[in-house]
Amino acid sequence: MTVTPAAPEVVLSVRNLCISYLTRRGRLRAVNKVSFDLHAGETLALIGESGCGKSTINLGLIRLLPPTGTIDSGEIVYRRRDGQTVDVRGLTTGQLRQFLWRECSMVFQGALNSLNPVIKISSMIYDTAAAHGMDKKEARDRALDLFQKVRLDPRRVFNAYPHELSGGMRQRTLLATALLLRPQVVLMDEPTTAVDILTQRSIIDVLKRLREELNFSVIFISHDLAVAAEIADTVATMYAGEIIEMGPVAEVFYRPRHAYTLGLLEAAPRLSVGREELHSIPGSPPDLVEPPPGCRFHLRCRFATDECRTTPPPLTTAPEDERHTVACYHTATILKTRQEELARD
Amino acid sequence: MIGFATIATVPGLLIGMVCGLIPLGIALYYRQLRPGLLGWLACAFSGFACGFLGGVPMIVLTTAVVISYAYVNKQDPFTSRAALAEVNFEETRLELLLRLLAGLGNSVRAGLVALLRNKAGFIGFLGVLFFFLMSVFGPLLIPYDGRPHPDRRLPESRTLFQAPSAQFPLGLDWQGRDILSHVVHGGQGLILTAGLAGVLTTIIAVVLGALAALLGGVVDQVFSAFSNFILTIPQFPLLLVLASVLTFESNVALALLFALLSWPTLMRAVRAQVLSLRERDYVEAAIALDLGLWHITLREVLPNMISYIVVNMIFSIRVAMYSIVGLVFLGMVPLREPDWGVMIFVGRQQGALSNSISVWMVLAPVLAIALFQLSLVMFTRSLEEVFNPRLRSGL
Amino acid sequence: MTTFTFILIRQMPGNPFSIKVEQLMREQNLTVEEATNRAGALFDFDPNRPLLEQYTEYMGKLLRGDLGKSIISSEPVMNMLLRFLPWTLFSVGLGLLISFGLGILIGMLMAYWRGSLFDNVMTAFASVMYGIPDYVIALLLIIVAGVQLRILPFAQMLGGSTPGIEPGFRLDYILDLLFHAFLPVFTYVITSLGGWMLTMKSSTMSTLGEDYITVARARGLSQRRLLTAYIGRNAMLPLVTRLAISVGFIVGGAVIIETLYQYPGLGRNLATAILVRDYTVMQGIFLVIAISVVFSNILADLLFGLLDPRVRLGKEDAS
Ligand SMILES: Nc1ncnc2c1ncn2[C@@H]1O[C@H](COP(=O)(O)OP(=O)(O)OP(=O)(O)O)[C@@H](O)[C@H]1O
Ligand SMILES: [Mg+2]
Repeated sequence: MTVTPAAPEVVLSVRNLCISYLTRRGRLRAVNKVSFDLHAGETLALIGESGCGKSTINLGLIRLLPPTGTIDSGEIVYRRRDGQTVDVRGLTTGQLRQFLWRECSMVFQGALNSLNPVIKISSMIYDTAAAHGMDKKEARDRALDLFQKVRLDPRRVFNAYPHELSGGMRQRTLLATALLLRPQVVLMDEPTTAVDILTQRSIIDVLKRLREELNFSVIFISHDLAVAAEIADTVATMYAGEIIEMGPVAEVFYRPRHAYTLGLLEAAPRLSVGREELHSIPGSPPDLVEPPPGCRFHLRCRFATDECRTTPPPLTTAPEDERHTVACYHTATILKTRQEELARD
Repeated sequence: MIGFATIATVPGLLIGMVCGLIPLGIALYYRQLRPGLLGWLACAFSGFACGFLGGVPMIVLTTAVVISYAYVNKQDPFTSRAALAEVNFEETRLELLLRLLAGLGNSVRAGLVALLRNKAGFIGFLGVLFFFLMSVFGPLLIPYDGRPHPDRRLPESRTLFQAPSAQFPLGLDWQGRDILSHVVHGGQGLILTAGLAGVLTTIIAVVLGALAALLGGVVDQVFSAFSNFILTIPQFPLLLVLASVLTFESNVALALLFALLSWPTLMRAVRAQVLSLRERDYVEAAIALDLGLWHITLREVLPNMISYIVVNMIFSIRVAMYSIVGLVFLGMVPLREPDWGVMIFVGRQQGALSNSISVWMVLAPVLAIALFQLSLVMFTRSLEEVFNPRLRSGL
Repeated sequence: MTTFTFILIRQMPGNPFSIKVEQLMREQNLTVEEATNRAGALFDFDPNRPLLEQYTEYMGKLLRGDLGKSIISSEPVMNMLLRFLPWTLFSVGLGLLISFGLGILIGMLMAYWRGSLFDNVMTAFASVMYGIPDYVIALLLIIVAGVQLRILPFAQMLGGSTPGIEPGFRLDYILDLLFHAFLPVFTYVITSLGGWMLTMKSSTMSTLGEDYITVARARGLSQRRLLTAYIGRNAMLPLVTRLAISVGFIVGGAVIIETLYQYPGLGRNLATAILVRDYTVMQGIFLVIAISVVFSNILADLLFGLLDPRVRLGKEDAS
């Protein structure tokens, strides 16, 4: 893939991003040569097993990796509403502070612990507003409005301490706070995993409505394929720190071309099928300190051939849809397998 | 002092050598010659240093280490080299003893290895060792200088105080006695009393803590209320008042008094640990099997807590030493020479603090106390790190 | 607590009362009877009455603020306590305030710049300070700074204030007080600072790992706000719970420190009272010390509640 200058409607363009952690055993490459474009108003779902580097990408995009993590290479270019482009990696700390939340905000994994336990929600809102030069009155009005939108009792939540809110309420509070400064991009790291199924539904509904009303782009991280399918425009499958398949949601789910995506789909429970026939992918993700040669998935892949074991497959474009890219040698076989399965059901 | 030899003696050496035969014999039985010889040496050395007091505990430690080399845990299918079929969950008393000893030996070995790696801890360990050796072997080299020496007065001086010189490296005190000899001889009683206080504290705390948690009910409430009560009273003033009301004839009584005032912290930790253990599944299973909580406490809880208990014991020793010196310093307990605390007390009374010639009488014991306490702190801090991997810093 | 002191003084073997009786008999050749009555007058109780009655009377007097009279000087103990207390309150309070504040500040910076030269130097410093007993520090201070180097005018600095100076709310008097309080306060600060620094460092380190700090960073908060309301306030909580223990410890140490510096507070007078066996004064001072520790426990609880809404009780909770 060539590095093309970002098209006007692209708000976030990531090229060849590599992130690694320093560990006791050596350098752990948690994200390897990841590239994608996020368009205005688009929702990109990042799916993949636990530990494949989804959260790491997210933290890397806003440069908030823990001290042991570093961005080794790659570009993160952001286009503001006024058309100016911002090189996120080149920002100074002060500029970064301005950039964060106003342009790009985040809802973190683990909402229970994302709120400072000793201050009120209102102080948190005011702090955020003050950091970006929004005045108190405006912040308050906007927060109350957003709380209303996420179906919370605005006044009560505004004056509450975090421990007085339930998990789902905190999650929605975080969502509302993320939208306080009208950012263009919201990163969401598994916003629905810690809550029950009903709350999950209501959060998704709220998110869908807000997205239409306020028009922001979302990077949505999840291992729940159903949620991803419902909310996303584009899906990217990650394995061992790499994006191995990416494309429009219908394309990827109905015409997967990578053995790992296929495995994920087969492992997902389908309500339409009466008999529970769930497959799991054998084995476990590879060690990221010393990744295997060739395709990183070949050890667990039923389609693997000699080629897979030696040379990493290049990213290719699917003939039917040029937005659908995949890194696999056996795209045709896999597509056929999936279609046979779908026909069988 | 406490009835045992605490200065290096030849009979002590013999005792130690005899004690050392036990680990050596066991090592020969298991064909582990090297640890056996080391164990024998350690026993002989500690026997030489402290007689029975050093030789006997050293038998346990060295035997444990020897056994840890040879022991195969048949209870644990994961660490056992034996096949799963040989796993044996019903152990005899002897096997239980072996397992516990092997566990102790392993932690001693792991602790020693980790200590060698940890710089601060090793320095602290060397410091403690230095003071120990100084108190035990020092008297062999430097005789105690107890009588006044009016003849040592320098021609133009009005006092017997002298600044350090080649002949008297730390100078002379108010009676013209060699300060170095007092420093060398004066630590022993202090260290011993503090050590005893620490050990007593630990014993009381562990026994009461286990009792409270296991018996529960009224016993638990009484013990807990009592520990809370003691915790609210500032320890040192209470010790002062008590020490002045009851006059102490022996160091053992003083150590015991200290122990009676300082057990609550550790007792609460032991109690909490035993209680939390009660909640765990396998203990419930054991209760269902009618194995009894006493059993479990002895077999599982205490071995798991041993590191915490050791650290806490050293801490108690440190505080005991602080308090005892404090008592002496204020003249609240009968003064007995030679003693670091007494040196400070008498030195201050004799005006040693007024000029730089005489100041050594106070400075020398003060430095000794400071360094000893510092060594203990460094030693315990690194022990904590060794025992608790979470505290190990960095990657 | 009071019960405890009451029993201690009356019923222990070799208790002060019987000692006094013996002493009177020996020194003044009195009969047992006479000596007992005399001693009773001194200790302000009648040994022939039943214990329970004595106890109720003692407690009743105590509630009215009557702690009896000094055996030595016959001055009411209450007056003496009121005279000693301000000194200790002032020096210990100031020392605690300074060391707590400094410890929190430095500990936080250590955690923030962990691994830096500053952190390493400060950690070493704190470990050393933490390990050395307070009176050793005091003695070293006297010896090194006062005797060997003569950089401090020690002779003038001892005591509570310069003799002859008129108390009052005037600058020179306050400066004089501070000048004399310097030694004890400095000693308290040095000895407790290390512990605060190390605790604050580890507490801050674990707070820095909390999600809400990362989230707050992501919100673009200013460094100052982050350090105070987010990191500092949360990291401080474990320290506040240790405040009361620390008060007990410092007050205990004050007995020796005040004696060394001849500072006219509770500690030094406790030591004196013990030496001259002035049991009523001892009892009074001990009571005050115990009460002050209980009081600082309450204070620490209040402070904790102020900092952490989770333990705050009452109607504030959203309904
Ligand atoms: N602070 C860290 N230090 C070292 N390695 C880390 C650190 N954080 C994450 N890793 C490693 O980086 C890899 C990616 O982790 P990441 O948190 O991005 O996974 P994830 O896809 O978000 O997983 P999950 O779905 O469980 O949240 C993992 O192998 C993990 O072990
Ligand atoms: Mg994650």
